[in-house]
Amino acid sequence: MLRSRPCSLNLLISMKSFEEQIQRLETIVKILDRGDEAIATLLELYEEGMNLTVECRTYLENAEQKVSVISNTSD
Amino acid sequence: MKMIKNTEISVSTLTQKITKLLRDGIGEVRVLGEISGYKAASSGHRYFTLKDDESQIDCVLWGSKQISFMPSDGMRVIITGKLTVYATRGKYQIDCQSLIPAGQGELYLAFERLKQDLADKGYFEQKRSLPVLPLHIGIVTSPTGAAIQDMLSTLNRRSPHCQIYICPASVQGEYASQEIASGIAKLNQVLSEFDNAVLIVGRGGGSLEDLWAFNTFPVAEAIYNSAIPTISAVGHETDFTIADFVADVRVATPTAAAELVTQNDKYSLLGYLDSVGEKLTDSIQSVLEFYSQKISRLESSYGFQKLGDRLHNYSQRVDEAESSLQKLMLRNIATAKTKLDALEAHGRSLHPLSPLGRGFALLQEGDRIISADESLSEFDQIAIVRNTEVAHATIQTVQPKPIDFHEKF
Repeated sequence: MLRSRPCSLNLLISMKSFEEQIQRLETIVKILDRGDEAIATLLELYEEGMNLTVECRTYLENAEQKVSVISNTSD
Repeated sequence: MKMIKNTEISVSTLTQKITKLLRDGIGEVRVLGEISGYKAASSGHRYFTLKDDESQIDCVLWGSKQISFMPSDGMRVIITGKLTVYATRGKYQIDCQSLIPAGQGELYLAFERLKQDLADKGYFEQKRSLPVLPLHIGIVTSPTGAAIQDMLSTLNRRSPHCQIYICPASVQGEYASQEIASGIAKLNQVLSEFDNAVLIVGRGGGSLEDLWAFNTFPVAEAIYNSAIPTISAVGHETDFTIADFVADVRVATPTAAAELVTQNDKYSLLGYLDSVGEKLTDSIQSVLEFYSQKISRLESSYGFQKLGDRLHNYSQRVDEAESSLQKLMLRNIATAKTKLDALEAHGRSLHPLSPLGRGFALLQEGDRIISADESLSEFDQIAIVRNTEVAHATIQTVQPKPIDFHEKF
């Protein structure tokens, strides 16, 4: 039978931020790859990017499967 | 007979009697025949004639009744229903409860017809690519079969970070097609806010009849209308279902669908994060290297070197200026000193008492010096001031001084 666990708002938020973090990482890689920003900006982005990889890694390593059951009611 | 009496009855009364007779005398029927003149009215009701070589009977299938395939003329079907009378036209007909194909051949026929129909409508041309990193996975399937367990365990093993949304639906039987369709619509509502969502619609393997819901129009339509890319995962080896054709992607088993949506699984994501970290470090290092080289280049550049030379030049000039300034100052000071000495000697010579050093004397009357223009008189009391002494005298006589003496002096 299904393991059903209610989907808490917090979990959804962390999912959302994981997606956003991955997207942000991709953006940062692109900017750093171009390298045409001010060096102070690049250094800040580098730091932000490295922090994001740590956060994403932590999220992935601690992730547990979340299952929501949506009731199938035909309207 | 009782009925043929002189008392006449109305058409409606007669019809009521016939209706009662048919309902009570025959009632529920199960009939095998061939469909003819099939017509789906816009109201949703379906009208057709069921016939064999010698006879035919009108049938009606109300819109509220679900059927799992698309009937068409010439198809042999088995209907169940009850015999009724359509009083308005004085016709009897079968009010159908169910309509099923009479055999597998009929199912294939229905399948081919629906397939052709949907192909004509362009239902098979919508092929969207799945998100690269699906994070929200909607599943429409039976909540009790092995399929859901297989999918959940695959998803959990490979991508536990994904959020799973299950919309339970029966996957075979009379209501399967409607439940699957409404499950797809429901998950579309729930997942509409996410970019990285994907739907899996499927079930484990079974006979053609078992899988039939996936060959029905409601399911095909729901998949076609899904805003979320949809994977059809009906367990079968060789055959395709209509759902397979309509879905964006088709796989042969539910587990294969779970594997497909977790291609970028937890471990490849961790690897990706590693490579991103390396990329970031490489990028920032090359940026720093770039600037460091730029600085070195500037340092060794002609302009910078020239500036250095110019600075040396200036400093030399300053040194030179300093030393000549010193010399000039010394010279000026020497000159000024000589001048000062001369002035001092001169000044000293001009002091009223200086002639005393050379033997001259000064005459005073009281405290007042007697000037050269004054004349002395006899008996004047005067003081004769010399270099080292003062003598007091009284004038005896006064005579004008001869002129030549003055000139000689």
